[in-house]
Amino acid sequence: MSEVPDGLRYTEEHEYVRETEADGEVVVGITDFAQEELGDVVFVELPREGDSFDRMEPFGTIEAVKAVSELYTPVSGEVIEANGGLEDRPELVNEEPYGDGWMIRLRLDDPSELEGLMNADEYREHIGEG
Amino acid sequence: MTTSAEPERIRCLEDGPGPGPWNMAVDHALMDPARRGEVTLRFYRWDPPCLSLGRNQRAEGRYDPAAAARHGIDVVRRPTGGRSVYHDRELTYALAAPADLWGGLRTSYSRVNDALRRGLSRLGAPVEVAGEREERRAPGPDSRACFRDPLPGEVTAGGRKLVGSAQWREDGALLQQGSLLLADDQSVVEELRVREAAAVGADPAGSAPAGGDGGSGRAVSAETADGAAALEQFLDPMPGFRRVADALRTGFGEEFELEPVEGDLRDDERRRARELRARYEDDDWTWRR
Repeated sequence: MSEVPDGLRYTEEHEYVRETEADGEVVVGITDFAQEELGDVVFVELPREGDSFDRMEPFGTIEAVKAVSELYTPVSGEVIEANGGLEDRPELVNEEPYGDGWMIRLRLDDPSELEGLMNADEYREHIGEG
Repeated sequence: MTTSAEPERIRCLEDGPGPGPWNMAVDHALMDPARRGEVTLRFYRWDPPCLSLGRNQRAEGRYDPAAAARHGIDVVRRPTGGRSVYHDRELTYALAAPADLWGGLRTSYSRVNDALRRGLSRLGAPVEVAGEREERRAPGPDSRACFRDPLPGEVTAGGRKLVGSAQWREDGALLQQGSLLLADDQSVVEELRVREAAAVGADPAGSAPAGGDGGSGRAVSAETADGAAALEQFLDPMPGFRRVADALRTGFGEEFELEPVEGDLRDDERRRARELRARYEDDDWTWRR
């Protein structure tokens, strides 16, 4: 069974959004299910600080042993930080997808977009582990 | 992305030998029909020979474009990931399909390898699919030639990698590209590395052939030759390109229960490929890392 923490929001494309203590700022990464599906992650290409993205726009790519896949922003916003630690240690995505394997920190354009994402129960259902 | 009705056929394309940027552009263009629900399988060759780089592989300062040019070798960067592959005497396949037609990434990747295994078995090749190995992470895109290490799920013969494959998934479509070595020329990958550029440059034909490489005049290094398997090492007589392609086509048809139907690149796909060719010819893309 994949780990699906309560309290996060999820997309059908297997990204998660975690709200932070800072108002209007969220952390985005890929789920435990996604990292298991990908296998060993060997490279993550992330945007620069200040880049802005619309909802479900590609913000980077992730390369694992078998495939390169696009990464999508679950909500629209501006990148205020990208996880530079993944440059040297992409394996953090496999080891701690919800922790040090996070990808970008976004300042939300429209916090109400969060409501359009799945909660943990809905995401478990989506991946067949409900 | 929803797709139309479940496909019943695989459209099969077979191209004559083409340059690297064109080959990548055609494969890329096949993502459009895949988004509309179509499955396309393309077999092709390369002329001139070409070194292809993985999408995220670090190449700047590591491979020498001048040495490649002296050898008459193209350099291109693939849309798919993985490591460098030297394309000369090989059969290359590209499969484009709706991303979720066969389940997720793992399932589709593994079924393509099963299709390859089925096809190659028809020729009598002693092929297997590499199993899970002991706990060790996969090599990153910055490490060396693709054919040095078989990874779990890849098609091997005699314990060595016979087909190197990689997938790209974007916006509801998948493209899986792979190389089946008909003969082993992978030592060229090492020759084009910067640290060895001086030696290559001093002798455009490469150093003295050590292993009888069929007349291409390039050295065979024991280190890389040990890593890759080539079909000619397992089949006697060695079948021609067309016969290998036919066998693989049948293998894909059986594995996916789809009828293989011969087809051609359509006008709109050819136009799209011409547009995309510029991207794959652009040094900013090829040498972006």
